[in-house]
Amino acid sequence: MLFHRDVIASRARAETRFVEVYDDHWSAILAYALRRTERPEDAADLVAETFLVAWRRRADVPPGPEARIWLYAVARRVLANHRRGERRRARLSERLRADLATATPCELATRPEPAALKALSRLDEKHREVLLLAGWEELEPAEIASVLGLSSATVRGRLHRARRRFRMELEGGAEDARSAAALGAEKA
Amino acid sequence: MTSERDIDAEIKAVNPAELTEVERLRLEAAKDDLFCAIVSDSGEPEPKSGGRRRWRPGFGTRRRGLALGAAMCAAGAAALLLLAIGLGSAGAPSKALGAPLERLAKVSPHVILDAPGWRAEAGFEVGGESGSIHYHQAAGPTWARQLGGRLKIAAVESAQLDWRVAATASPARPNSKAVAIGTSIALDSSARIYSRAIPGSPDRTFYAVWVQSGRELQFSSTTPSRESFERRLSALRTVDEAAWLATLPEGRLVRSGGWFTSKGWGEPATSAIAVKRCDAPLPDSVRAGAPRSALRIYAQQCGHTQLPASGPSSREQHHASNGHPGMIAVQQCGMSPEQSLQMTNAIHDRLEAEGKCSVDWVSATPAEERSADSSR
Repeated sequence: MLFHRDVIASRARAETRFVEVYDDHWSAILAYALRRTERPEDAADLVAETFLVAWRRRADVPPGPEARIWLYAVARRVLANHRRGERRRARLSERLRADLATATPCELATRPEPAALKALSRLDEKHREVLLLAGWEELEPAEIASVLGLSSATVRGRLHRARRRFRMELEGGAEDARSAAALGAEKA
Repeated sequence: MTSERDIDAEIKAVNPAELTEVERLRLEAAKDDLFCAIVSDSGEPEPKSGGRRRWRPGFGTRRRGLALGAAMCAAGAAALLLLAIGLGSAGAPSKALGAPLERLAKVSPHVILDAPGWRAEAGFEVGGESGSIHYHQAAGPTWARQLGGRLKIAAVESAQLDWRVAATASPARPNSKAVAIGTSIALDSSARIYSRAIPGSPDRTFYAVWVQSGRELQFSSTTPSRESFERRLSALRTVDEAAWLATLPEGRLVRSGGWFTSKGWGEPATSAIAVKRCDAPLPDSVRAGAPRSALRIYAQQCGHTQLPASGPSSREQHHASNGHPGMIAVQQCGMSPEQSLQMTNAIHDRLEAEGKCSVDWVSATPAEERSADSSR
């Protein structure tokens, strides 16, 4: 029955395209996941879930570099769901969870937390996210807007405010650190 | 620190996972493993996002056309999996195959397609009760234009005879159960004829169904018109059991879960596929980067057996539970289309040289497609 050949061929073509998306953006999505999760296992789950969504919605994945932005948006939503305690994809990512736990260099997981990270952690979520998308994923405001589902103007304004607050937090943290050091010196 | 550039640099400096570091992680096997697990997913629709507005990126992407959507839905049912190719054993099948073939003959209506150029390519016993015979005709028109010319298909036409009890599984009633029927269906004008469109093709698959005394015989083939289908239909003949057995393809009688050879019913399909993997003469470029576990094989759905819409999570389970025979292609997870094609061709060449399969089509690379287009 030739009909079945068409069906299978259609599926094969969809998979071929998905292979390209998967190969091209695997590292970017894995990096995104590692930057935003504390444990490699969680990063593995996030990667697995993100690409599973992409597989199921493969007809919606835009072509070319825009696929990466699309995947970031999916990953962001998946991450939010994980944080809300929704079920995870441990079955899918079993191998990746194990390999990532051993392959991730110690320095990735155990770096001392610099002042900038502490400052970032004190920002509210919406300001922190635009800063991270700009600084870590190196996205332009228009791309950030696509990831967050906002207008470019909104993102530019939010970025401006986020940078200002980050600077205040950073300077406030430095001031706190100097005060603590001075207090320690006095006690000594 | 005052400028925005300085602030961005400060944030960038504390990136906990630089892309260059991530790319150095040795995760190829896990990456391939995850890929295979994902594409083995049944592809159920992703649920909507519960009223949250605009969580999707604003690319203005649009849904692909209905044809592809329908094809993908059907693909979930048609499912993966293939192979269980009949083994090419020499000698008369009726003598070599013994009891299982005789059982098939008992439940068959002894109808054959008797026309020049047509020959039985494979016989299938489904569930040990119902069955089908697939016919091919060489030197027919090519199908390379189907689905936008993405396929390179050999010049082969096909037709299929299925038998079962009436009101059981068929393309129109996929969920009903197929059970055995006996012989004797008169090829008269009582046949109900219907057709279904093929996405991306001007041709249609036609079906003629006879229902007599609670028994059902279906003849199906893809043709450009009903007239050409009816010409094909007129070549059906009812013959006696001996003549019917004589037309069966040698060594190509296959049943669910394995295949039948002169040595008896074959191994489970999983073992068959494992053997094929080991036998396959993988090109060096593929062998270097391809774990054998990533080999992916597609099946043509066999006759009236419907595979579950959401199949087992493991491809191996797919193979074990749905080891219906077919022809079709091999694709490899996590490889480039060119490498997959290279691998597919290599395996096909080997199996064809050994008389183990008949290959109808493989996915074409864009370059091959352009070449084919220019030669047409």
